[in-house]
Amino acid sequence: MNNSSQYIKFFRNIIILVVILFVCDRLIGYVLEKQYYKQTHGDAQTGIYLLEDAKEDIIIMGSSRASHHYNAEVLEQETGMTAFNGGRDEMVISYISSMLDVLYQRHKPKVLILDITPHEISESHDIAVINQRVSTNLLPFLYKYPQLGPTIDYSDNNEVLKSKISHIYPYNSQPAAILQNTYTNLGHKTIKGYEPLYGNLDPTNYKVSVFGAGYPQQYPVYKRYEDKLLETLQTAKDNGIKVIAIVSPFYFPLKNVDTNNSYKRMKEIFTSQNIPFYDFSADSTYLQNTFLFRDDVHLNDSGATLFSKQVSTFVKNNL
Amino acid sequence: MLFNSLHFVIYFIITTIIYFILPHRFRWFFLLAISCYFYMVFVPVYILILGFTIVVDYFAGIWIERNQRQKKLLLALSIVVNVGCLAFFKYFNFLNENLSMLLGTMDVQNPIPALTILLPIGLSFHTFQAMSYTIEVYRGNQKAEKHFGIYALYVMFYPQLVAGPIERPQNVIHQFYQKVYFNYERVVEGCKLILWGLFKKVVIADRLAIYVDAIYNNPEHHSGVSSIVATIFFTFQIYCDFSGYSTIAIGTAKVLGIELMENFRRPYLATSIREFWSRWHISLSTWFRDYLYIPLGGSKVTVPKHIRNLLIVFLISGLWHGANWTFIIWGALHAIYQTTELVINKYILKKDKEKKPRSFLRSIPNYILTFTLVSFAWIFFRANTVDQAMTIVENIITLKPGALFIGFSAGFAYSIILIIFLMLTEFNYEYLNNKFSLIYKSSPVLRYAGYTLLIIIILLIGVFNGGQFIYFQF
Repeated sequence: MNNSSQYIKFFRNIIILVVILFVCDRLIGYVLEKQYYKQTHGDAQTGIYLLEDAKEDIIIMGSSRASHHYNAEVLEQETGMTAFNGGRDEMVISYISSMLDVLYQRHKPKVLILDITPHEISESHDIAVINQRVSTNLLPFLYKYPQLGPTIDYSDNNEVLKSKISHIYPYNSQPAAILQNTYTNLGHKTIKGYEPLYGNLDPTNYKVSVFGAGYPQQYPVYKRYEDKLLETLQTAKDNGIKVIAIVSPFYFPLKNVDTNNSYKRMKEIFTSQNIPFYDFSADSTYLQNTFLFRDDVHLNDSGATLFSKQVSTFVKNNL
Repeated sequence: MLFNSLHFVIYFIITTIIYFILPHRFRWFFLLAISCYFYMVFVPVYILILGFTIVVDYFAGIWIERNQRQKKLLLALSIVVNVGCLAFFKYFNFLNENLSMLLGTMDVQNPIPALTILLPIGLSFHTFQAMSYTIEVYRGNQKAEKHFGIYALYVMFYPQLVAGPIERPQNVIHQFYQKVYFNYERVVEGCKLILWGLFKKVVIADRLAIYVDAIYNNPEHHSGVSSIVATIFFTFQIYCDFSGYSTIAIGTAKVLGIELMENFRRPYLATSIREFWSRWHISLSTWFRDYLYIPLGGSKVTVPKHIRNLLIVFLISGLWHGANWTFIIWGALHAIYQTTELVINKYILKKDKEKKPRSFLRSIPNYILTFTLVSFAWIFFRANTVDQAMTIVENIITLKPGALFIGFSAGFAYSIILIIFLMLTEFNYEYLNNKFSLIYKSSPVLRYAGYTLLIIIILLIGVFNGGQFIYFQF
């Protein structure tokens, strides 16, 4: 076989393979996308519900601390309004802001409870990992909600481009979770987005705060997250939504919190924009109360019920 | 540039097309230029260090050949420069820290400050490959390369630049002079290797890494069972990570018409530690064999000297991997294993040469024992500190109570399935002549099904933010 016929054979076969791959990729990607939105429980379901179906008056947003701390049913009983907890593990203000932007196009809640941590807008050492996590969690929604693209791409990995090349890619690592959360009873279950934790904190396992004496550390303010927080507040204001910012309880007292750059800047922002801000990090009801915590950063169901009642009072007072 | 990045895919496609379009006389220059770019994507300035040693070794080779009387001195000088560079960047802080600890026991403060420098990526590989050149010229097995560009390409050739295989000049240099034609079978074979290497890295190694990191970064919070599972997972992670890199490197070079040496031969199917080392990181183990073990006398000496030789080789091999006591212990463990095996074979079993047991079934206890010993040693290789390694060892030996950590349950399930799949693949290659490998079937339908399946699995469950290859740090 001469050289040119070898080239031709190679490129012909490459084209055949690319065509096969393209067809398989689009077919499997299509099936995965359809199945993704059918999940009835699990980590992603909260996000799916928020974007697709949420019509509640009160929306709670935040990280795992939000999803474990705000019992939506208690809030409903206490305030007489409907509520949904949109908190999701390891998510931060960039996720919250992007999800809310999509939600507001379909539904405008009356109240937004923003559960934040004192270091919410810190430029911590693992900021790239945090951005990557946000990107990974938003990616499956990209085709239906392309406005999430800029946040997804912020992790600097050409995620949107990769999603254009492959339709399977956004659902990477998801197939087993999709099957589990659609066809089995296994996986995380929530009650209106609230995921209760049962059992008490074992003090022998939590002798010292995992965050150390200097928590939150003196990281600089991360401009991008500061802008996202400002954007979240502005969009809520433009849509007539009342925002309440809350630092929910911690098991250990936080040291040096008042001098923390992120915390100070957020307090300035909330004050300047007349946003009610409640900090429970030093609340004596919760501090080192083993019966109210599951671990040092998450309340158990009893703690969450008590806390949700308190939050309901603030909601009523601020309306 | 990482092999498992979109950047590399684009780079590889574009450079390969240009490579085949270019006339032969320009190809060496093009390969050298793109290899420099490949390296400079990491930390550009470090190419100067490589450049410095390239110049030294290039002239050392020529002078060694010309000055037969002084060739020993010239070789020594070249080795001092190469090892000196490596020692400065890789071992300075390690030695300094240990000196501080030693002086600290005598209440004396160490006046030498620590250096705030990063280890140039792949320096250990580069140094060993460069040294193999001057040693081979010294031994007369390789003519000194007069073409500076070709010599530079020998040490800079991008597929094996940062993590091997550590080549020998006799295997590679002459290939850069040969005119390479586009050969369909060779290019397809290269692409298959790239695909399989990528699968091992992205799908298996990086998937297992998630669980391993969770346990090894906080061993004190985990049970004995979790520590055992994490150690077994790491045994497969390190294999798939490193052999994945080597497979991609060999495949990439093959596409360009350059044959690199085999670096892994299904090491977990070894029935003894000695056999393991003939299957694991072959380019490094043969480097140590040719340039250290045999010059020390190898096995053709008295038993005590043979044991000494093994200890020296494995301790240096451990140190080569990293400036940390964990690596030295890892090397020492392998030296102890080999020594024990030697003594048992010589004095108890009374056999001079190890014979592989005939049947697979009869070999099962040997497989398990070898695998267990190798896995145990990997604990020290993976742990960040000796204390952390000892915590893992304690967890395992005492079978520390506690539930098995699962983490992301689907990820855990993928990990188990992937390990089984890997071992079946290895078994198929070793014992069944690749009979069940779809991508090597003669039927095009089955072959294409195999390619498609591999790519779809990579897209479905590959870990795309798994980061760089473990061996890059060496």
